[in-house]
Amino acid sequence: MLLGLRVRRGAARAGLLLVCCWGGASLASAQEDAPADPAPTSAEPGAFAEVAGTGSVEARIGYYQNDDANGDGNPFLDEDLTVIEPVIVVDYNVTNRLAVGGQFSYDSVSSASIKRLSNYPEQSGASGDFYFGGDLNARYKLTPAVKLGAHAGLSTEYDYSSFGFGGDASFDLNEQNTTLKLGFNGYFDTVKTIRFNGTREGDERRVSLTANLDLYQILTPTLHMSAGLSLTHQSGFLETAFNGVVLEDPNNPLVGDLDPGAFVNLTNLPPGVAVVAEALPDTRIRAAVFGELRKYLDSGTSLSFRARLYQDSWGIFSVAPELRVYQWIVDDVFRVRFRYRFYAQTAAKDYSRHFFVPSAARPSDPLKPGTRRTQDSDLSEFSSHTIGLKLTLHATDSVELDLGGDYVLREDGIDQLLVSVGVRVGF
Amino acid sequence: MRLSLIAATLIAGATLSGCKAVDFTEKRRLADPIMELGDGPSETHFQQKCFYSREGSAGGIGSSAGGGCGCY
Repeated sequence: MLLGLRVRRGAARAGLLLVCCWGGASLASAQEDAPADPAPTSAEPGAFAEVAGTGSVEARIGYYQNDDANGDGNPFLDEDLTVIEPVIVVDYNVTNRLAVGGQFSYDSVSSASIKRLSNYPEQSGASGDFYFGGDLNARYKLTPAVKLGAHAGLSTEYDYSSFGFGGDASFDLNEQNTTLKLGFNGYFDTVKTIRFNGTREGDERRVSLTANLDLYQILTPTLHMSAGLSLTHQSGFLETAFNGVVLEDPNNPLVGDLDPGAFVNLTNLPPGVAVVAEALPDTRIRAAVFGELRKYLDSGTSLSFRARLYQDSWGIFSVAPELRVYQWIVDDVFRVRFRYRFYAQTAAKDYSRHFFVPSAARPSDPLKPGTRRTQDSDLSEFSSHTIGLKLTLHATDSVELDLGGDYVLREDGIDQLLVSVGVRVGF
Repeated sequence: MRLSLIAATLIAGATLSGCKAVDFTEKRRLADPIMELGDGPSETHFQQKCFYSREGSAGGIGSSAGGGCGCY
């Protein structure tokens, strides 16, 4: 079917000009029939253009939403959420060896967790949340085959701030058919511990150190791949500060459909119920292996298979295979991308949907529970199916626009919608 | 860890397997936009944030599991 939709650029250009209202003149002047020059590829999108004074600006607005209309996920919490996030990415080649760039994003977040905390006057800023993040990077071509990169950035939220930096070195081998890249990242975070009941405790620290090894390999003139390994060590305060855990009386368990609203008023909880803070280990080691294989077909189609395996010391194991199809509808002008991603994970060792603890065995201080427990649905066992569609228009040689959407059908009911629109301008 | 061993073996195997080099002049198809591995940086950022925030695992989308609480 895809192949049947594909039309030649010359025949379709006029129609596309009418349908799309951005700059007919510029579109007509671009995309002439000169074949693409043979060009080296790279494991890294946005790699060196190698022409001083050139660069690109990419802007995107993303919309994320998940509902929780039926008490899905954690039955004791509303988990509905909406995020609107603009992102700007700038790249500039200062010389033919040095490139610099920056990435800046802002999140406007509206979530049930914020509304819940707004019940407590101690919670400042709880009527809404924001996130601002900025990251600057530089890349330097040491030799034709060796490139070095470094970045540093800051991000802040009303209850969270983070400083991060990293570096990498990549090596082109085998007549640029192979690229090996070694990298590391460190993030040093500060968490304002504002608890589920609005209590403000002192600041806590979190350190995340990651080492990456990436391989890019050209296999044939129409087949290439990438593979990678990521190892992360996290330490410090790894809980979500405002997450609570509902303890039930084993002699009087909660049954039936639960209204998460019943657990908001902590002075009027259901009989036998208490809420304590989430408690999780202070260290977490995470390992992921991942890769992508991409094949070009003569029909203007490419097929991609991606996969990731993940294991961490909290007991979560996950698999995430993904299939993608890329198709030119109008050669060099308009293309589509379809994706299907399956995701499945096991639960963390300390996760349970219910915790039955007799009153006499409960901690005297609900904010110092001692025993490790979490009811965070993102640490539970679940699977999900993601389907997505993305349309990309190469309006001119230097202007690219895209519109994409993904829908995540999650087994436990927390379905998600992701939509984004982006524009990239080269100069 | 098991995953590390598997990955190291795969990467070493692929690197050392002596894949026949594809000549520069034969790489035209690989330079086609529909063959660009990964996604653009802004899309990667958005996808990484959304998926990492709602899944218990991380890695493979972008460079690493980074800062930010990821706790909507």
